[in-house]
Amino acid sequence: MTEVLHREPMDLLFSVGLLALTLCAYFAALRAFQKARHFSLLHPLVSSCLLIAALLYSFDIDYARYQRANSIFYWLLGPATVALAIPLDREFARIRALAQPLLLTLLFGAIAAPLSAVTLAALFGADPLTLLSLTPKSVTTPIALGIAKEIGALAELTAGVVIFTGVVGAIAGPRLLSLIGVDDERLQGFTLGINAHGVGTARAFDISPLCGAFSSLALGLTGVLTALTLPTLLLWLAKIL
Amino acid sequence: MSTALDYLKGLSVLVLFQLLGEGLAQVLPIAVPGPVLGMILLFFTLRQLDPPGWLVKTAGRLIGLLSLFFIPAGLGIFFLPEAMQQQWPAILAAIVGGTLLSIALTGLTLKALTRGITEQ
Repeated sequence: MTEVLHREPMDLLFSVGLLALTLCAYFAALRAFQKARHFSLLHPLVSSCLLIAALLYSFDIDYARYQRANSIFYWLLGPATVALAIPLDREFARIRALAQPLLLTLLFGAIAAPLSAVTLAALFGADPLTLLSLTPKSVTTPIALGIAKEIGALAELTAGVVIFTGVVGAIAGPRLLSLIGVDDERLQGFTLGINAHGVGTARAFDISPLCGAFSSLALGLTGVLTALTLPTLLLWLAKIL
Repeated sequence: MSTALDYLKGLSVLVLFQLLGEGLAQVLPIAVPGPVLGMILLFFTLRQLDPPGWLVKTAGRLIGLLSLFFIPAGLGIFFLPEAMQQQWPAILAAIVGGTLLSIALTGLTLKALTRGITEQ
C-alpha cells in the first residue's frame, strides 16, 4: 500500500519531467536554429529529436513511456491540422489562380512519390512487405496508417518511414528546389506538401505564410487522393502482375 | 487574461470542427482522418464568414508550433521495430533518394505547368 502511494506521485512527476524534456529540447533547438541563421540541418525537429533520443538511451527510458507522457502533443496535432484551414482560406484567391496546374501536379505527385520510393527500395533488394509499407510514405501520418491497414502493410514501418520522409523533405526540400530553379514560394510550398506532408508544411510556414498555405492545401489533397486511389491501384497491380 | 481566453475560445472551435470531422469520417466509406475532414469543413465555413480575430490568433500559434507536436512521433526513427532494422539500406534509399527524387520531379512538373502564370 505504502509502495503504491509512494509510486504514483513519483510516476506523475516522471511524466511531467518527460513532458518538460520535450519542451526544453524544442525551445533550445529553436534558439540554436535561429542563432545559426536557419541552417537547415539544425531544423528544430531534427536537433530536438536527436537530443531527446540521446537522453532516453543514456538513461535507459522506454520510448513507449516517453510517448505516454507526451500524448498531449499527439492530441494537439488534431486541432493544429484543422487550423490549417485559416491560411488556406486567406490565400484562396492566389491558390485558385493556379488551380489547374496544381491539380495536375497533385495527380502526378501522388504517383511519383510512392513510385520513386518503391523503385529505389526494390533496387536495394527490399522484400514485398517492405515495398508495400513504403507506398503511403508521403501522406500525413494518420491517413498513412489508415492506408497501411487497408493494404496489409506493416504499420510500425509505415509510421517511421512517413515521419522520416517528412524530415528529409523539410531539411533538403527548399534547397533542392531552389537549386533546380523552382524558386517561387507558392510552388515550393505545394511541392513540400505533396512530398513531405505535415513536417514539410511546418517547414513551409517557416518560409512564409503563403508558402505554408500552398503546402497545407497539398497536404490535405494528397492525403485524400492517396486514400481514395492507392488501395484500389495496388489491388489492380496485384492482379496483372 | 484576455489572451488566455482567446486561445481557449480558439482551441474550442478547432476541436469542435475536429469532432465534426471525426463524425463525418465514421459515415464516409474511406479512411480519411477526422482532423483532415475538420480542416475541410472549417475551410468551407470560412468561405461563408470571416474568422474572428481570436481564431486567427490561435490558429497562427498552433501552426507555428507544428514542429513541436511532431517531436514524440518523429523520435520513433530512433526506436525502429526489428523488421525495419534488417532492411535499412533499402528503406534509407527509399526515404532519402526517393523523397529527393519525387520532390525534384514534382517541383519541375509544377514549374513547367505554371510557366507564364507565376511570373508576376
